[in-house]
Amino acid sequence: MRPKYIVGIGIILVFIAFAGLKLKQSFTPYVSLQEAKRTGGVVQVKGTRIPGSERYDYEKKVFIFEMKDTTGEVFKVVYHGVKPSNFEQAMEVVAIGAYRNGVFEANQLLIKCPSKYQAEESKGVQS
Amino acid sequence: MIIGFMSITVAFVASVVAIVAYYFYHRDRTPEMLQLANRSFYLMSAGIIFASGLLMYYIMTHRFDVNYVYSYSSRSLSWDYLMSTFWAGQEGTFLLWLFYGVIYGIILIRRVGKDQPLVLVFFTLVQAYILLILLKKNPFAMVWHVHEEAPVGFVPRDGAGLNPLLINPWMRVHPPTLFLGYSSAMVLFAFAMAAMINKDFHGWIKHVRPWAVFVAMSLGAGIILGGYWAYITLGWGGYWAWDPVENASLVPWLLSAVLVHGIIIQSRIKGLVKTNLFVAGLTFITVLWGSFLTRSGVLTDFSVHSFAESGLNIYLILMVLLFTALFLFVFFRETRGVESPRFTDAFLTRETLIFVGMMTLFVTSILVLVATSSPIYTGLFGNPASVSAEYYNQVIIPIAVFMIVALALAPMLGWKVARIRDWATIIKAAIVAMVTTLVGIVLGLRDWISITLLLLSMFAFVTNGVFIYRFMRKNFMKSGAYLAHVGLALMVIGIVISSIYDRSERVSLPKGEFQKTSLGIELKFEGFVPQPDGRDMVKLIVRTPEGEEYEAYPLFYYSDYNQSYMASPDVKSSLTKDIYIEPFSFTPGELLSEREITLDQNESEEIGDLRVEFTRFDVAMGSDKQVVKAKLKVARKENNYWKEYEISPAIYMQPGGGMKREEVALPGTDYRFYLKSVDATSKRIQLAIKMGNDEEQKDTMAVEVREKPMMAVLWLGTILLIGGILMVLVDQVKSRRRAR
Repeated sequence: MRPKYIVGIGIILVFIAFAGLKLKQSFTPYVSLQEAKRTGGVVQVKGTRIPGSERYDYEKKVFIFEMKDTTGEVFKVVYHGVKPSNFEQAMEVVAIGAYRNGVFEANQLLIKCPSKYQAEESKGVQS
Repeated sequence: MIIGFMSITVAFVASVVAIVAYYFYHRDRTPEMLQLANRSFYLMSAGIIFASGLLMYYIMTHRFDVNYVYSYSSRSLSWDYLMSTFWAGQEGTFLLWLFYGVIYGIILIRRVGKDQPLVLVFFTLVQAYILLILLKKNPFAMVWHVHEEAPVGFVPRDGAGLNPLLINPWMRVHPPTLFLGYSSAMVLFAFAMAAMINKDFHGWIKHVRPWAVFVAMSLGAGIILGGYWAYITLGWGGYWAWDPVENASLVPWLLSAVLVHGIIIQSRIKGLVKTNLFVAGLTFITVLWGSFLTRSGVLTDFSVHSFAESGLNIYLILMVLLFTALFLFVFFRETRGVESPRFTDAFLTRETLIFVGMMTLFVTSILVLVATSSPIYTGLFGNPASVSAEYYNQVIIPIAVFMIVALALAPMLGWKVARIRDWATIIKAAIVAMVTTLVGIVLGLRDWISITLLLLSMFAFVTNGVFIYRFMRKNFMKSGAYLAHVGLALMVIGIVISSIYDRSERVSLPKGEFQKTSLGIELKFEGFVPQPDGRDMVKLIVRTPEGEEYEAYPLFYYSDYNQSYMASPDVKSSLTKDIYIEPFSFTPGELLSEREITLDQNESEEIGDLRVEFTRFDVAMGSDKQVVKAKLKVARKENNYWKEYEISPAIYMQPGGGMKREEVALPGTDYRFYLKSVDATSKRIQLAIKMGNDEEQKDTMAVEVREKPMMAVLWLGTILLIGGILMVLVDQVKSRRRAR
C-alpha cells in the first residue's frame, strides 16, 4: 500500500466512526409519552391536541398547549417557537423534543392537517 | 376521461415494443428493426405528449369532473398558476417526468440511436415503468372514481384549489426545473448500462459528459430555487431544513457532481473507469429512491411535505429494487477484471485533489442517504426513528473543510506530477484570505468554524478567481468550472456566517407605536393593506440601527384552503445582511377584551362577574331616524352580593341605511355595552361587552424579526455556481459540434 492511500483510507475511517457515532446519538424515535418520560432523551411523540388549551407566553416566548398521545395520556407541551400557522386544523401533532420537569419541551412540531378534500392525503407546513 | 387513459395505454404498449425492437436491432442490426423501434418510440412520445396536453387542457378549461383538476385547481387561479397545477400532484409529476423523457429520448435517437441502441433499450425501459405506474394511478380518473360519495357524472362547481404556499412565482419554476434533472438522470443510467454491456469503458464518457453536466445543473438549479422559495415564503428564516424531501433531491445532485469530476479524471488520465460507471448508475438509483421515499408515504410521520400514502408503495419499492438489482447484476458481471491506471504516488497532483473533492461529495451523499432512510431500517428493530437536523449540520463541517481545501489547491496543480504551477497566486490568495478573515474577526467573528471556513473559502475564491480573470482575456466561455467553484466558495461563506450569526427576536407591536428590539431595529405596525386576492399585506415601518427607515410588507391572511392564518415574510436584502420580518400572530384590539352574548327577551346570562338580563325593547320612531334601545338589567357581584343597574344601549338607524351604535358604560366600572344587532320580530339582541380601558385595546401584531448576515453572498454564490455549470455545458456542446 502506498502512503497516499493509507492516509486517505485512514481519514475516511476516522470520519465514518465519527459520523456513525453522531448518527446513533441523533436518532429520535417515535415513542409514547411513558417511554419519553422513562428515557428522558430526544424523541418524537405523536398525538392529538386538546382544543382550547393553547396559549402564547409573550414573556418567555414559548407556545404552550396540551396534547394527548396515542395511549391517551394527556401532557403539557412547551414549544420554543411560534405557533405553527395551521395548528387549529391539526388532526395530528408530532412533538419532537424531550420530557423534562413535568413538561414536554419541544423544539420542533410537525403538523398533520387534513387536506380539505382529500381524506387520505395530509399536508403540513413547518413554522 | 377514457381518451386520456387510452393514450397512456397506447404509450405503454408502444414503449414495450420499442424496447424489444431496439434490443433486436442491437443484436441483428437490420435497418427495418431500427425503423420499427424508432417509430414505436415516436408513438410512445405522441401518447405522452397527447396525455400531457390533454391534462393541461382540462386544467385550463376547469373540467372539475376530472379528479386531478378538481383536487388541485380552482376557478380563482390565474392561468400561470393553473399551469403550476399540472405538477401539484403525483400523477402530474410523473407525467412531467415522462414528458421530459420524450425530449431526451428524441435527442438520444438522433445522437446514438443508430450506433448504440442499447442506450435506448434501457432508457425506454424506465419510461415504460413509469407509464405502468400511471396506468395504476390514472391522472384522468374522474371524481366519482375516487370519491365514493360522488354520483357518476357529477361535475363539481369549483375545485379544491392550490395550496396558497405554492402560489408564489418561484414555485412556478422550482418543480419543473427539479424534474428536468430527475428525468435526465435516466440518461446517465442508460449510458452506463449500454457501456458495460458493450464493454465500451472509455467511449461512453464522451457521450455522457454533457448529460452529467446537465443533470448537475438542472438538479442544482431546482434545489436552489426551492431553497430560495422556502426562504422568502415559509418564514422560518431558513432555506434548507434537511427535510427528507429536500434530501431526496440533494443526494442525486451531489452524485451527479461526483460523476462530472470523475469523467474529467477519466478523460485526462484514463482512471476511475469503474467508479464512473458505478456513480452514473447510483445517481439514477438515488432518484428512484427519492421517489419512493417521498411518494410512498413511508415518511408521512417524519416529513412536513411528502406526499401521503398513495397505494403505489409496491410499485415504487419494486422500481427501486428492480433497477438496483439490474444495475448491480450488470455492473458486477461486466466490469470484472477491468483495471484503471492507478494514480501516481504524489499527493499534490490535480487528479488527487479532484478525487478528494469527489470523495467529499460522495461521502456527503452517502451520509445523507443513510440518515434520511433511517425511519425504514430503525423501524425494523423497534420504534422508527428519524435523524435530527443537527446531525447533518455537525457531520457536514469537517467534510466542508476538506472540500474547500481541494477546491482551493486543485487549480494550482498540474496533472500527474506534483508541481505547484503558480506560487505567486498562492501567496496572493493567502494574503487576501488572511486579511479578509482578520476583518471578519474585527467585525465580530468569534467561533473557530466560521473563521476556518472563511479563511479557506476566501483562499479558494482567489485561486479560482485568478483563473477566471486570465480566461476573461482569452476565452471567457472556458472559465465555467472556475466560476462555479468561485460560486461554491461564496456559498460556503454565506451558509456558515448566516447560520452561525443569525439573530432573532419576537416582539409584539401595538398599532402606531415604535417598539425597540435588542437587534437595534425599531418597528411600527401601521395596519393591514387588503389585497384583491385575499392575501392581505401588513404594513410595518422599520428603522434600522443605521438610522435608515423603510416600509415592510409581509403577508398575513386567513386561508380557506388551509383553514388557518398564513404568513409570509418581508425580506430586505443588502450586501452584508438581510432583515427578515415574519408576522406570527394578530390580536384585534376590539376582541382583546370584548365578549359577545346573544339574549332573548327576559333571558339572562352570566358573564365574568356580571349577570345580564334583557328585559324589553324601547323603540322610538322619528321622521328622519329610528332609535332602538334595549333595556338591560345588569347585576354585578361586589363583595358577595349582587348590585343591580339598569342601562339601555341604543342603535340609531339613519335614513341612508347606516347605523350608529351608542356605547353605554356600567356606572363605576370599565365595562361598556353596545348592541351589535337587534332582531325585533324574535325579540333577540346581540350584545357586546367591552372590558378594560381603551389603551389596552389597540390592534397588536406580533412579529419575529431576524438579522441574517451574508445572505446576499450566499445567493450570489448560487447564481455563479449554476451559471458556471451552464457555461461548462454550453462549451461542451459547442466543442462536440466542432469535433463532428
